[in-house]
Amino acid sequence: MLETLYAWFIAPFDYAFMNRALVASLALSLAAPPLGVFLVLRGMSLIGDAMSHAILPGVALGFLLAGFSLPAMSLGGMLSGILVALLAGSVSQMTGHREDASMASFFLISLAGGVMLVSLAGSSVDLTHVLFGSILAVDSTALLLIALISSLIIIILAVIFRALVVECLDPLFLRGQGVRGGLVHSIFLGLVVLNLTAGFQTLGTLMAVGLMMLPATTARFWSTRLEGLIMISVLVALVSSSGGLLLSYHLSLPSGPAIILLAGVAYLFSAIFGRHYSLSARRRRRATPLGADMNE
Amino acid sequence: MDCSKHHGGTSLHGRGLSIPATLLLCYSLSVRPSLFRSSSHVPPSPPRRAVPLFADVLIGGASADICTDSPDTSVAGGLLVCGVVALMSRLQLKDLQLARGGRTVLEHIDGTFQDAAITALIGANGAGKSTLIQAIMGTLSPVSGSVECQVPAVRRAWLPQQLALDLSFPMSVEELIMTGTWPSHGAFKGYCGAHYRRGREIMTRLGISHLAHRPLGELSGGQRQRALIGRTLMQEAELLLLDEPFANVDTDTVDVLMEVLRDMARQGATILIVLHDMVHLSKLADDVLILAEGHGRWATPDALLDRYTIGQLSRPPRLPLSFPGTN
Repeated sequence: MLETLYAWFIAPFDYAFMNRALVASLALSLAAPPLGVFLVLRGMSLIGDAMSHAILPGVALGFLLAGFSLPAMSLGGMLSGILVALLAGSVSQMTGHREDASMASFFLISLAGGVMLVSLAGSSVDLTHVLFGSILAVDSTALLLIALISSLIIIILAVIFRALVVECLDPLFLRGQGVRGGLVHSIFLGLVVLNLTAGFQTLGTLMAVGLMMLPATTARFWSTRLEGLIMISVLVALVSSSGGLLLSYHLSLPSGPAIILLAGVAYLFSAIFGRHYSLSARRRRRATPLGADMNE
Repeated sequence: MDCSKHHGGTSLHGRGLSIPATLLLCYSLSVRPSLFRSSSHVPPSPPRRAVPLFADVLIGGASADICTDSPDTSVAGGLLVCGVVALMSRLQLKDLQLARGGRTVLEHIDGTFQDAAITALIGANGAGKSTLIQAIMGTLSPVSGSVECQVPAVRRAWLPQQLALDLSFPMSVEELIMTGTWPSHGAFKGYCGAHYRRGREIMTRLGISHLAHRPLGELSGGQRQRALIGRTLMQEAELLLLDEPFANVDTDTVDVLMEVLRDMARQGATILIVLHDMVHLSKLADDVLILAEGHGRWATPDALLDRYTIGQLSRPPRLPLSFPGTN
């Protein structure tokens, strides 16, 4: 029995590549979900998706100039992500276009540009790598970079946490307190870009969003508290990334989609059986008696 | 702000009064007891202004017109006390012109809001009340003229109309009230026990301590209004702008909020409140600014009440939506 368990859950990670992949995805699972929670709460769930397209041309350019070098590609992705976010923001400010419209336009342009650049430079195998990642090919440099970025995200998020929360709720109050809400918002978007650049190597530019959003949307069905949302989403991400790796090892599936699909299963399960807002919660007819929370 | 200071129950205006110093300080010390020590006593019926303004004298005397054309008459008035009140006022409007989308909403708005008093802002829908409030908060810059506000931005509080805030964010009542510590704590400093105790005091006072851990999204209109007032108490707001705070709120809540606002005014806060109800106005306001047809006129609540209730007691008193005497 124990041996079977060992063979299933522990033994795969004896391989160095699986080991590195595990550490990388666990690091991402700690940093990405909290960002996703804030995106969901602000009604910006699709921004992450759009951002993932925005980093593609930079990644492709890095790939063109420096070959398959992770630091160059990450740097390029980061720069192009931030550039596109700024451009979209300023175009919508200057033209009075709604921000989602200008963002959508820019992200489509960058996606097309990125795909074009990658195919000009290399084979379709490279394109698949960039778009969908290859978590099993994470080397120590990549691992270091991912761990570094993840730590940075968590630290910066901790620093801007209170401002971010207040900005979500009541931007005018924050402004009255002398904090520019726009600055907090930009830093937050910067963190999203940063997270996507860390994730693209392992999960690919398109899949990296999955580890950010799916755990966050799943958590929404289990908690109505911010702390709860963040903790549950991190937990979901940790479980689905290690589980997805195991699945991909045992069933020889591509690792990125396996991880995200597992998170997707968690989402669907929660949508049906979760404590709040789920299908079963809607059918539930129990209620706490009057005055039950008087002595909280 | 250190915690020990809070613990002892501080004066509402510990800091931030940077204007002509000593006079003001003496004044504030003499009339402002501690906000939180006075929480147990029931305030008497809404006190009238201690210092009569020249405008009062004018209206109470010869003139039957309830409006004074310019509040500056109160400054020019011979009464020394009036001069003092006007000088130390922390919020003044000077020939203000405000526009929205290129269309002038208000112009030639002049006036001095009394400190330590509640000024009611009345007028029909679309008369520019919310626009004026935005200009005072500094979110709308005037076309011409100026808003002169001595209150530091961190001590200004604004309660927008109901539903203007997205309260679906997962935050509890207590957490909302604790964000009122921003002026002293900023984005990083942790809250200490004394602050939590003070948050508790505020919630008890507002009658929402049993809701402390309830998410904001689950509150009723009256409860969220109490919670938002709680934040301004925590913030020790010196300038409070309330946009129809009593709309869709039950009478109990109105009573509690009125009492709290009265107390805040007594501590020295300058309060500006948009009202649509003559009963609320008669209970609460020390001064009235009527907005209509793009202009503003000042009046006293007594004069308004006299004019609009004499001989019509059977009819509920209504607020004037245009300048009295012009139609």
